[in-house]
Amino acid sequence: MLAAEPTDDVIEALKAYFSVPIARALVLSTVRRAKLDGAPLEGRAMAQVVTALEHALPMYIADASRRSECVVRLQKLVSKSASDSPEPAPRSAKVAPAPNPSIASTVIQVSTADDVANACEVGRDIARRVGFPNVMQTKIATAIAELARNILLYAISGELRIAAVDSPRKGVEVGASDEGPGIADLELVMTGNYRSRTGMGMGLRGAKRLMDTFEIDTSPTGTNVLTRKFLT
Amino acid sequence: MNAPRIPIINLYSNLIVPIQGAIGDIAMQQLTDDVTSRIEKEGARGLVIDVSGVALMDSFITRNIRDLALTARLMGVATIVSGLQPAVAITLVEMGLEIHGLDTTLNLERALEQLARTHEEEAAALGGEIHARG
Repeated sequence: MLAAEPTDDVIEALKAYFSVPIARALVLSTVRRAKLDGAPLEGRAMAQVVTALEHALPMYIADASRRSECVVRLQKLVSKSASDSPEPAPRSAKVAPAPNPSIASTVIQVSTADDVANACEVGRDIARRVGFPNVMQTKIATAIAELARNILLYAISGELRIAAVDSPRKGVEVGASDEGPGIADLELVMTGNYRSRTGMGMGLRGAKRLMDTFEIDTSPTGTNVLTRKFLT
Repeated sequence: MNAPRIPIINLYSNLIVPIQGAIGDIAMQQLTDDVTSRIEKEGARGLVIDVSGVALMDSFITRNIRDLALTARLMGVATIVSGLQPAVAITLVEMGLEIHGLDTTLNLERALEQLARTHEEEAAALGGEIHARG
């Protein structure tokens, strides 16, 4: 269960800047990317996750003072964790360059059909600015439509986060978070043998097929999807 | 949401529905009501749903357009979807969306040509039958 995750402290620290589902999605994906799943989040592991989060923050928090405030909060977690843990937590001296600030990252609240159309437009625009050709822009925008539509149909409301990414490769990242009832039989939905009353039962599977990576985390308290499409 | 109504044009007893841009749930519902009542009222022989102005078709929109086409066909009206943009067609295939039982053409012109042929064949078949009987 999510409530017992060791990432709770980090999510707690981020709560002031993001909604809980977004914070959770961000932390979980960072932990997963750092290959620290399941490991206790303390000492070196905590430092690693916080460093990765710091690098990601410019994409999510535009305001510089709010961002440094957030970094301070995260650093406190690291020093607290280091003093709790016998293992020394080395601070990485090397700071990765911030992602291209000219390409926006946007959070879109989804609660109406208009929001779905708007999210598609925003996604297409970001994909175009990253350098995706027209067909790829259409695929990305369509995947966004499926994710947004899914939020609307099953969770009533939620959030989409669309961002340009530089690592591991240049591309677009789309995150969808909601606090809906979750997907009871994820496997059935993803295999395509499922036909829903409202769509062609194709929404999530369609989005997965259109994107390069697709991660989903669903529970009775909500669903988080994180998906990426790379330029090359 | 106050969506503008999608126009329905009657040309040579065929109804033409040009869909432009994003289409919401309410507009789609309205369109289905409008098209079916115009078919009944005007005795349309064919229906063309032209999607050349649609830059994005997700599974929701695709399903709605398919349902409209199948509804019209159930009423006895030959129905064609025309003008799918290349990027849209590629995306639908990649998603694995299968559109069973739906006639499509490259553009509106081809759709009207095809409907004219269908009507001629029907008329010829009917004429032949009358001739054979007489």
